[in-house]
Amino acid sequence: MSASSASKPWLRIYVPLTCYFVFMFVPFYWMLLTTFKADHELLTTPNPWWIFHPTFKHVVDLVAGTQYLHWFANTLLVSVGATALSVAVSFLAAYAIVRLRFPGSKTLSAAIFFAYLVPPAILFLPLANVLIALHWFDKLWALIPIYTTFLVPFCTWLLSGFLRTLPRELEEAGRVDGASHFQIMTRIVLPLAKPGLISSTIFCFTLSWNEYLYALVYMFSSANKTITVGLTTELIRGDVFQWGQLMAGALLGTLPVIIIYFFFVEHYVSGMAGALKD
Amino acid sequence: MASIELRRLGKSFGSVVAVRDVDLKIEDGEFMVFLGPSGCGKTTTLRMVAGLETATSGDILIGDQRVNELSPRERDIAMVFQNYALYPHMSVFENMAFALRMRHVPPEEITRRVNHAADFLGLGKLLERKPRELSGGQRQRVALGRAVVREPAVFLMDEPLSNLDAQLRTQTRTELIRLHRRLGSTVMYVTHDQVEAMTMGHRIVVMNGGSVEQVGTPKEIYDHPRTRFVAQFIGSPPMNFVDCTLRTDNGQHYLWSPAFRHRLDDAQAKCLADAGSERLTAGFRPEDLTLGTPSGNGETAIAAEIDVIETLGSELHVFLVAGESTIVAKMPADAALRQGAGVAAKVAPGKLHVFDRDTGLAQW
Repeated sequence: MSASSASKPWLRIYVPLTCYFVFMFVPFYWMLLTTFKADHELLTTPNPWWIFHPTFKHVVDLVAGTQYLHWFANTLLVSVGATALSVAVSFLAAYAIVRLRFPGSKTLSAAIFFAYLVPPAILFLPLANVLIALHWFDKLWALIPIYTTFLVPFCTWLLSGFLRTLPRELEEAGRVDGASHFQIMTRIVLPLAKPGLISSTIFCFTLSWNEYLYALVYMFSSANKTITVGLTTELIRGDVFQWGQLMAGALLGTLPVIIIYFFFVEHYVSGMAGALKD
Repeated sequence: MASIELRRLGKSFGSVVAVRDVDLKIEDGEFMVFLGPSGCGKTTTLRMVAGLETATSGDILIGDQRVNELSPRERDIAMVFQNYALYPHMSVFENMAFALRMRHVPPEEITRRVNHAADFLGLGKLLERKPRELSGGQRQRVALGRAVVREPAVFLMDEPLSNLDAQLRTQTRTELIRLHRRLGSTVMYVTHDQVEAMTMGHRIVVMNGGSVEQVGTPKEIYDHPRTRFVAQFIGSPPMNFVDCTLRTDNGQHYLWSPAFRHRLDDAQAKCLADAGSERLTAGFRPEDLTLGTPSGNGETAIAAEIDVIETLGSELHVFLVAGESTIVAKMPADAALRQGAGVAAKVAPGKLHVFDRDTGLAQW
């Protein structure tokens, strides 16, 4: 058996690949099916893997009958804001940790990473106290600084790994050439850190886009909901699941992330590789 | 242009002493080469002059100004790095212009200076390219160009040729000599390659273990090494060493070992007697040896047997076994020598070096 599997590459490569493909794409396919199936076809159909009477009804109902577009805009605003803030803060932190020699930089670097390991479920109670004290409860933009609590630690770690791979001589050449720390950071390090920054951006955006717990706990008015919270709180009523609209919302909701990955996947890989080299 | 003066310069990294009490003056317009093995402190010294490392002790003067507390940007220096350190995201032009932009030089002046430097370094057609599109030699020239456009008081070069292949290195070495002649600037050049040091330097600083072993012209360093380390480090093949003692026989003074006997003249004998050292090492360069048939009179010479003969085309390297020592002699290519033959190797008059075995210091 082992001899024959060694001689047949399809058994080693294509069979696992097919399994993986099925595992990854069936949920998407199912989402697609459910989105465009008529209600009566959802539960009673001769072939659940096919659409016999395609319809846009669920999409129209979702867009026209709920505040979905509003939730979408909310999610976009929060995700873009949290991503921009986190990447900016993380880049500055990572640059300081890696390049500005100060006592305790290694300890600080480890401490920041360990902060990432604290689960949100533990953090949300103390964070709630903070939000109450600041009167930030049910304020959409409050999610931006909240999300940085889990985005900044990982991004800082990712970017410090990447920055460590940039030759120190480049910065020294910059110093000899007369550049200040700030000029070295913006004119030499920043352009070279692009792959690392893109990886961090994708990471932050995906996590913010998918975030559920904080958005659920801290936002309660329908106008301040994000997609993840909006879909599950407004389209599941007791034991009634509006499957068509739920799946339509999920399908539309995954599009931005898919588009981002599609365009930046190459840089994402090189950024990750840079992070892991140290 | 400016001179560089180092006064009792020292640098420690924690408990490790990298540079110890370096006292030195590099004259205005001089090409000074810092030579030594890895970890001898030559690069650290250069980096302290550049302002990339802070000195733990001592003073650094560029011109008449003490620069210890000044940042690299305020020191009016340009540096060529071992791996060139070109900015990968900038074109050749931008790489060369960067330092000028940082100093707010007017754009038309930047263009003029970069084009001028690019022309005489043969980079005229490459100005729009990125460093990754250049060969090693071209990158090296861009790194030089980046330093040249600055028109700095001092050039600092950290093993700039070590990443080039042998042929290109020889060629670039000559170009650097020409460049220096043309610019007439003060150069501090770090290398571990003795050929670079001998061919390029007005003077050489030989460093070992963080300290300066000797400062001198290439000829002084070669002909009169002050320590055994210098003698060993300079020259290829390196100098031969034989441990020996001072003996007196019938009123004649000899350097003696089981395989080696060399009669000393009175001045030499007095010099060694005054120094009072018993444990000595005799040193002689491979080219200062002549090989003859054993005469048996034991007056001078090393009784040896030819072990290996290496033919290099223009010359022979003859490896001799003399007692427990192996000795190399450089012979003309047409010398009639046979492996396994017994020979008497003689040291040319005035070419013998004697070092104290404990301190390593030359005795004359």
